Amino acid sequence: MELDELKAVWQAYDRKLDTSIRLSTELLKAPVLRKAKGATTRLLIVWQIELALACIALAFIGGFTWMHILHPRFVFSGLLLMILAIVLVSTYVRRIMALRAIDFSGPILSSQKQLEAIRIAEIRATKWTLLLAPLAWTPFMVVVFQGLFHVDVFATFPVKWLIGNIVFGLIVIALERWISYRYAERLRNSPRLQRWMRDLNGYNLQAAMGFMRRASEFEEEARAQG
Amino acid sequence: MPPKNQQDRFVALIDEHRKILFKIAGAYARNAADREDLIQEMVLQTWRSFGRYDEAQRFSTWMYRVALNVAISFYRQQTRRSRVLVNDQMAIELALAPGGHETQEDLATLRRLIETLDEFGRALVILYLDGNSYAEIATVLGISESNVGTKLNRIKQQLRDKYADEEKDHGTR
Repeated sequence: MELDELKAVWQAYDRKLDTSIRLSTELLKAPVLRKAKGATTRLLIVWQIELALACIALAFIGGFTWMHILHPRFVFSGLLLMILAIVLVSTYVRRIMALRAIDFSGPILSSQKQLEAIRIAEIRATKWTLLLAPLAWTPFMVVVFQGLFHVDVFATFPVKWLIGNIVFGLIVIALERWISYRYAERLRNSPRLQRWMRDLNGYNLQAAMGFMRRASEFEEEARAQG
Repeated sequence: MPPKNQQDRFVALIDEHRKILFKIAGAYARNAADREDLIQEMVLQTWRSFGRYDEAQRFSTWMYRVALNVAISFYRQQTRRSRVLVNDQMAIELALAPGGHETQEDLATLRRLIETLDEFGRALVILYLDGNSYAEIATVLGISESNVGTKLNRIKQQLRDKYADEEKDHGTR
């Protein structure tokens, strides 16, 4: 069997489509006419909402740190959270800009590589957010208690309690890692949770890197031939 | 956002080239529901990109790029979710196949071939079977013409080997 012989089969399939999809024209018009939102637009909306929330958090933490500039214990917690929030905001901004810049009418290989680079950035951002969140819990509590309820955590709770929280955070990180390796594949009924677990255990990153490698190999041969 | 007359023009163009969408969806989606979602996604993205369409270019070439980019992203998203590569329900609807037993078998062979290819290989085969020239395929994929030739030769050989194996299997039964 030759590929060229299959061309005739494909052409017959093509002719058959002429009649079988006549009624489907409405399917083609509908998304445009009802101004539906595509997957990229929906993702952009989600990221923009998350960016707005991160900016609000950053403004709150920045204001808190400034107001407590004379109290090193609060400044330390505030600065730690500010650094995390700034990194988070910058990753969102970069991803949103990159996704907006994607040209779907560009050559397949370059567009797909750009899309996968965004995906890799997203995987890394999720992984580090999941890993650092349990550690950020303690400074977060310090800032929220003082900033919203004027409760000084350092004065109210014993130091042991604070250290306990940090240790608990470390245990949660270890637990997260263990669960992600052991149970990620059993979470088929919770796609989002499974995605996070796969981001955490490196499966998604490995898959994305593999895709990038395949795309590059496709191009590499082109250069070798050209 | 393009004006209303552009919307009408777009709908007319997409209607004229709708078979491209159906064929691509057939090769990248695993079932009827996915195919419908993918077609809608391709139409939407083509509409969003329509402002960048240069009239000097053939609409079909431009549309292949958008549709294949969307289809590959869609396929990757689906396989990420299931982790299992699509192998039983995907590709071309056999129900759409014309006529006799032989054609059905050939179509099944074609389907099996498409299933063995990765995202880029599928795009290459669809473009080739649709009668695009090496230059057009190279433009859509973003690789050189000589590379298109090399890859097609490899796929042709792969198909010959596969078919020879199947013949051998039939012969030994």
